[in-house]
Amino acid sequence: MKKFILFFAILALAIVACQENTDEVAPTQETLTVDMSDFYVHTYDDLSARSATASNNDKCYSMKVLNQQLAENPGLYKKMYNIEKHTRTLIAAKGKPTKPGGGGNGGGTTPTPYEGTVNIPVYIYVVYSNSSQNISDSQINSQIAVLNADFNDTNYNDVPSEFQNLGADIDINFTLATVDRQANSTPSWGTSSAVKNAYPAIPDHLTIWVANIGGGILGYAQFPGGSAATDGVVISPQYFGTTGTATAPFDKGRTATHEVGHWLNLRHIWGDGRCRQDDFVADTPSSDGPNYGCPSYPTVNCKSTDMTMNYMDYTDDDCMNMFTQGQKDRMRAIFATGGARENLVQ
Amino acid sequence: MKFLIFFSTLILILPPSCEKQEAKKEIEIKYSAQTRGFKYVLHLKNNILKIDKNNEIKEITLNKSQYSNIHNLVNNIEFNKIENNISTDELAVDRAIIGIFTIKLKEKKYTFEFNHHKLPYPIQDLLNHLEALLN
Repeated sequence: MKKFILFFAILALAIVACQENTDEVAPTQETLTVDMSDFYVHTYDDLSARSATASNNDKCYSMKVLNQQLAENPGLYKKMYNIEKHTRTLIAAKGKPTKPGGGGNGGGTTPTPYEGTVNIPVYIYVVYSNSSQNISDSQINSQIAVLNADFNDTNYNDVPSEFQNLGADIDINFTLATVDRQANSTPSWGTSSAVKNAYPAIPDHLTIWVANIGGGILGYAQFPGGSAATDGVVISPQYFGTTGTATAPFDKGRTATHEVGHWLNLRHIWGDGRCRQDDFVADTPSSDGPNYGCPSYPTVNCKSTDMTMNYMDYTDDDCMNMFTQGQKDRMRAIFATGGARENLVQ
Repeated sequence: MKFLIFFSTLILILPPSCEKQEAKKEIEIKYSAQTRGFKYVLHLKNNILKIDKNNEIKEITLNKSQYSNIHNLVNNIEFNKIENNISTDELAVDRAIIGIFTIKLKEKKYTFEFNHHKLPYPIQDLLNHLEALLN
């Protein structure tokens, strides 16, 4: 009997010893495979285009639109796909971000895909048709101060305990390089990139156009991978900075924080769809839509508490105050070798 | 005999009046466009029309003529030919405001997602008409 047990013990030891210890093998970008099956640039979600009595046509219609849009701009799709794949590969190589919910599984320890402080020079166009749109240097400086505070936040005691261990210091600094004031009779520019076409983006900078957009839109951005001439963010003057013409409840500079988040490859926290559509960040909870105003805590959707205080939600300036570790990884991945904004750290 | 006349009269009067009540209930329109810093919601249910523009709320009760006009407008819209026109590309970077339009028309329900600033003409026309009633 003893011999029998000894034989099996040796056999088990031999099997375990011969197995490859995967924990000790550092994954490399070349060997990692990442799942891109959920990647989307544009798609319709649950809402149907047709009468509820004709629901069988809905999917076909959505696909038709999607395919049409892809056909119109396949180059952009490919670029965005590659950026996403690069981001996921780096994040997968560095380890998985923590899960939401405060389950005591640790947080804030995931290494970032790009190490070291990132310094971004900011070129600001102030495009004005009247004196109130020609905002002061003081208002501009107040916005730069907010960007630096929000992207270097180390104190997350001001968020619900459920999310405290997810808060991240993004470690990105913004330096005001140039303020370029341009008088122009256009009273409002809309979102057609007209203002960007009139005053092109500056390479190797974050370009911000402070120009009246109108139509109820506070600001808009461009993801990495788009045209260099339009690369940057546009913000209406009354939602820029914290002083001067900045107007409550959007007078704490968070419109710029949100738009720069997009510029650094962040999606809206609800993924621009229903519960099943993701923002490609593992440690942000699912949600079925944006939150507005100053929601009470907890606001529960998709069976989890919404992170309404995240900069990538749609809440009021005073009620948003955090990025997560997963969002940090996404943002910093674009500065790594081969990343879409690698040029800013070279 | 008196009873017979009474019930005959009742039978003749009641159905049309009930039909009118039903007619008022047969259309429900809701249009909601919202983004950060912007809210526009129009809602017609029965003969109550309500608007919420950035939390400024107005409400009226429509008279028969007003309701009838809306009925005519709606009946002239070919909802089967209207298509969604919102781009999630634009929504994802805040370049557009999504407008969700729902209409319950008798037994049918249609729902569309539009770019609030690029509404199809018949929908824009209908919403303009509804909003004008509130001014």
